Amino acid sequence: MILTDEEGKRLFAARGVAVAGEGALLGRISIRLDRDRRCHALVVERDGKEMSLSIDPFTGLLAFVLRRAAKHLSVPEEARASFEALVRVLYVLALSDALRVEIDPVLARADGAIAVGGVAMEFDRIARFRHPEWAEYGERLPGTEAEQAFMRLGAVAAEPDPHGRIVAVVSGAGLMMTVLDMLTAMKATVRCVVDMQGLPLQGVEVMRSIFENAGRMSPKITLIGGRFQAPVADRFAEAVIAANKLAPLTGRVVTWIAGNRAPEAQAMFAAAGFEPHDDMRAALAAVAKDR
Amino acid sequence: MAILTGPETRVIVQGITGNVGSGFARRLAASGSTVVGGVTPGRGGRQVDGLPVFDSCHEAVTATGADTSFMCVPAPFAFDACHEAVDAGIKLVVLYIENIPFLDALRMTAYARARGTVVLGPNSAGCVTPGRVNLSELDPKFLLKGNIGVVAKSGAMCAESANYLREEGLGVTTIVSIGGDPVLGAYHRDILERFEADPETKGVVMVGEIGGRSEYDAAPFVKTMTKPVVAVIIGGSSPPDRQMGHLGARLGAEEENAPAKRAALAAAGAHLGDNVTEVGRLMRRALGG
Repeated sequence: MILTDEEGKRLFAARGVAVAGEGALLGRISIRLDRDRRCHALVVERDGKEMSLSIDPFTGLLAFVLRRAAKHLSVPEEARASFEALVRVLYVLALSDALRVEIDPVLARADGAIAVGGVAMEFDRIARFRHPEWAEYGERLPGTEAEQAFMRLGAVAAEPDPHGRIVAVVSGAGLMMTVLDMLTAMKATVRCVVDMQGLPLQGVEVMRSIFENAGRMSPKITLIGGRFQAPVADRFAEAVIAANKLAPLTGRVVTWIAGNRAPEAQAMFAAAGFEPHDDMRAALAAVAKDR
Repeated sequence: MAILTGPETRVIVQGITGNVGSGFARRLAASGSTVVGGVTPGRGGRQVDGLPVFDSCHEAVTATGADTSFMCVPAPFAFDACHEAVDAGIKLVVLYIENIPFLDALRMTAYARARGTVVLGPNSAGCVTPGRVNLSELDPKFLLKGNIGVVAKSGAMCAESANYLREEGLGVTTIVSIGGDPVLGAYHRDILERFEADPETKGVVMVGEIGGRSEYDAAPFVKTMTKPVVAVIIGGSSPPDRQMGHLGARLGAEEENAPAKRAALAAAGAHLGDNVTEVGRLMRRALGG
């Protein structure tokens, strides 16, 4: 959830930080999640030179980290206390599920206060269950209209080519990426690729919504695919076929189903007039031949 | 041998009284794992399919000797549940749960590492050693037992890798899904080190994806390995600034993208495939078959 500059500034002002005003330019500071080191990182940048300082999750923000950051930014001695207070506010926000808090520019005022020139802030949308106060920001979803429509259902979509002819709806993030990679390598034009996440077995109405979203993109070919570990491929096929009666897909529908009860699913798809495959490569080749 | 689990592994399911937890308790036990009970705070004393339910991990460990947890609690409770498991002495935690806040994942994985507990996930499909222990969503009936280790973030890529290995007559020792979230308990290198040390494993398939540095950081270790590594990086065609299913799969800095990861792994001597359908053929060739 991304906040606007104004919303960000309000958050800082509410915590006693000076906002805007005139002052000497110090640079930029941010706190981000360092996923590979499993910690937060305080990143300070002045004159194009960036320094990243890890914050140990067991100790929190220690004084030496603040001193190194202040030195890198050449914070005037009289502004040190104000600067440290500002960084502590950043860290408090990071501990309140902010993924990234960035202040650009940071200004040193003549009265010794450090002021916030601009704020960019993003909160972890997943953590909204413990932040009822975020309701005031509303539901802001990233991406295109089509991507947002799938996201509202609980799926994840990416729309690489608005002129593409193919929509691929698959079960699994890895398959979402693999299908896009392989179709792209075959020079096929993919309008949208969707990972259904946990939706495949949530019934006909959910599947109908997925098909309605896909149908709005008027695909020439729709690929539906997945490998099922639990014995449910036939249940999935049943939901797909029922949904297609309620919200019919235009163009060819190619399916690739593998795993538990896949033969039953393929027979159902064949009877419904789809083009079933039991091999992903064959299904993608069938999709790409009509690119 | 295999890795992470053995015949002595004793499993509890945290969140066993929920639909997902009870379903997994049945599935894991049915596929040969020694499931000794489960934990749901406030439900101690009950039974699920004949398995005892405990109020806490400490009670479960004391009563059953459990050393492994398959965790299915709702995401808001995962932070507490994972810390409790580690504190109780559990040595392997599979975080099957998705949608755990990044801040929680950061803290619980750091805590687990400091205490010597291996965490797979969040958003991990688990790990499975066919014929011995299943701590995953994969159905072992589709897996061929053999000598190849598999490590991937994605559960789907674990299953696909096993499928394309099987096409070449190659089976697996252990399959490990490390999870698709940005902050993980174990990264590729952690698992590669275990496969390298495992005498039963003769080669490793590693499937990586865009986002994070896990694959890039694994490359120096790949260079030192005595066993062939077949590597695939997925997501290279992804549009910029899009989350590709996994929360962690998003194009970022240069070393987080597919070309840099492929280049680093190629320079380290890995056998690179363009996509997962090639892993069996490449491994067969790497093994000299």
